[in-house]
Amino acid sequence: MTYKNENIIDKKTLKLIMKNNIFLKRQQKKQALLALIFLIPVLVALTVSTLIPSVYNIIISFTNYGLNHYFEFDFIGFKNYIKIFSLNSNSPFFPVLGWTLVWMFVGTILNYFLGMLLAIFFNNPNLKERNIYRSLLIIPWALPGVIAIQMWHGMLGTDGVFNQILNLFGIHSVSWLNSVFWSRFWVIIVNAWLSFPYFMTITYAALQSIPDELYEAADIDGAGKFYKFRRITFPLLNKTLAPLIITQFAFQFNNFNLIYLLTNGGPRNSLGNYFGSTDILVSYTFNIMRELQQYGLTAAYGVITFILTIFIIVISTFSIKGLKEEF
Amino acid sequence: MTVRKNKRIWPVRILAIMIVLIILFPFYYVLLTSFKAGSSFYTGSIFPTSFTLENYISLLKETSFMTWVKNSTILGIFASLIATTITMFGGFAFSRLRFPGKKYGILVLMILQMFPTSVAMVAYFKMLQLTGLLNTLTGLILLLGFGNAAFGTWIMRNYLNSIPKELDEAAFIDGASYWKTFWKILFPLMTPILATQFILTFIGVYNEYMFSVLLLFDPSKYPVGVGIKGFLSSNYSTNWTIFCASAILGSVPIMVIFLLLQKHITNGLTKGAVKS
Repeated sequence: MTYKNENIIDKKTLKLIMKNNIFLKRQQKKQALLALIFLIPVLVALTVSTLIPSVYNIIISFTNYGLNHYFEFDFIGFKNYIKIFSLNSNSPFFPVLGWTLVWMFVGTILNYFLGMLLAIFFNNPNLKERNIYRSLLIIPWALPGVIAIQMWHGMLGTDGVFNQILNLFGIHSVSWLNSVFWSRFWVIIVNAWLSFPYFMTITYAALQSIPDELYEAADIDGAGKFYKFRRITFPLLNKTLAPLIITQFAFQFNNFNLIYLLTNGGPRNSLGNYFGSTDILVSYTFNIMRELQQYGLTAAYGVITFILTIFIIVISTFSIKGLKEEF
Repeated sequence: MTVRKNKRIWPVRILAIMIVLIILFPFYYVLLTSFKAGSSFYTGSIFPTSFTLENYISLLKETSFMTWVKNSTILGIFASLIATTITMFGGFAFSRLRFPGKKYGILVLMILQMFPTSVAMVAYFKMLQLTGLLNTLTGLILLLGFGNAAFGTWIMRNYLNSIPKELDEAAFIDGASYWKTFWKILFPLMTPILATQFILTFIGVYNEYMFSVLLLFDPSKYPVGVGIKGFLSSNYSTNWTIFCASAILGSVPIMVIFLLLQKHITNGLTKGAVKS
């Protein structure tokens, strides 16, 4: 009986009834109000920690606020930005940006593949005690980074352990952190040391989610180990882990702790020249703020870094989406 | 057959052990150095020669290490409490309630969670200066507690979405209000993610360096990470063993907590990211 009645009321009327249903309306209003109450803390937090600072930072970036204009500062238009982007005044922006991008790509890709390689290596079912190795290898991730990086800084000193080992073999000490090549080498290595367990763990989790049937089917077809990796494991892992790589790009781009605590951005060419060979945008900005105390310029750098970070997120999201569809 | 397999696994096993040893060497070395007598910095021994607790004793007695630990604990606990509470309510609203603009809200959260807070350092400095919170732990607690709101809400929402809606709908039909449903039904189910969120924020705050060093000038207010840097920069060679002791004492508790909760932490992190 009832299903026939459905035909009597057409969709339009039904919508109208729903729209004017006082009970439903009241429910919706009540829920929206409740949602607002539940969301107030988040909204306050985001306003205080993100919205106000961002707007304020943009405003300061157009002023000459700094050590010389501490109590009264004026709007100077785009002067800070012109100073950053000008090519003829030896602006450190472009060299620093170049290294930041290299650092971001090499850091992320190396960490990702190193983690993947180790996850696959320690997934060997014949290695009965593999869980022990895996738990041990998590230690670098479990250590608080802020302390672990300083540990490395100490070990890379001229009298540090790596030089002691070299000396044992009769090789002269190398001042690791005073050479452009070696300091860049070590920031990447230390970063890999700190981050590979994360990638290893997520890759390991992703490996377990690949159905065995795929490998069995490949076995029947007579596929070799490498072929199976290239055609099954690798694409499927990329597909699962792609979203995590996006966040990793954005994170490495702004990985202040590692650069600042390991090399302090150095080595630097000369005193008063505040960009060093390993300085990334964030650590360089920090140094302008602390050493030069040119707050307006710092804020302008902040705005640029901010825009670049969004840019990186957008680009990697799109390219990884493309990557996902390809496989 | 099994014998042949065993033989073939040995090279793999040796390689595995070597990888583990190489990767753990820095940690082992620092641990070892922390038990060495003060002057043995220059003797390049990789194996233990002497054992002394001297470094730990002088670290606890002669330096402000315990003050820094206290500061880190205060910062971590309060910032985590703020972050967990805020994101718990926010996550509930985004997962269970209907309100206008919810779709865009989720999108905004997703974008906001990737924003680097570090770029606005001048603004934070000025804001705390204006409110009189510069050089106070309170200012830093508010900053760090609020700073992670978007990411936390996002994680909470994803976790709540994995709890079947029928549970709270049943309670709602039985006449319980949303408020009651939240506390009686969902809150108990949320304990794992709440704990994860708390620990993650705590570790995040513990690892924070930039704002701590920028917004606190008073060495007696430093957290551990900032405080121990002094051992490395001043009188480097004589303080190296003390630094190692502080590094071990400062990192082992965090390490133990992390290793114990590692499964929850990875779950929370990957759920947040993969599910999109």
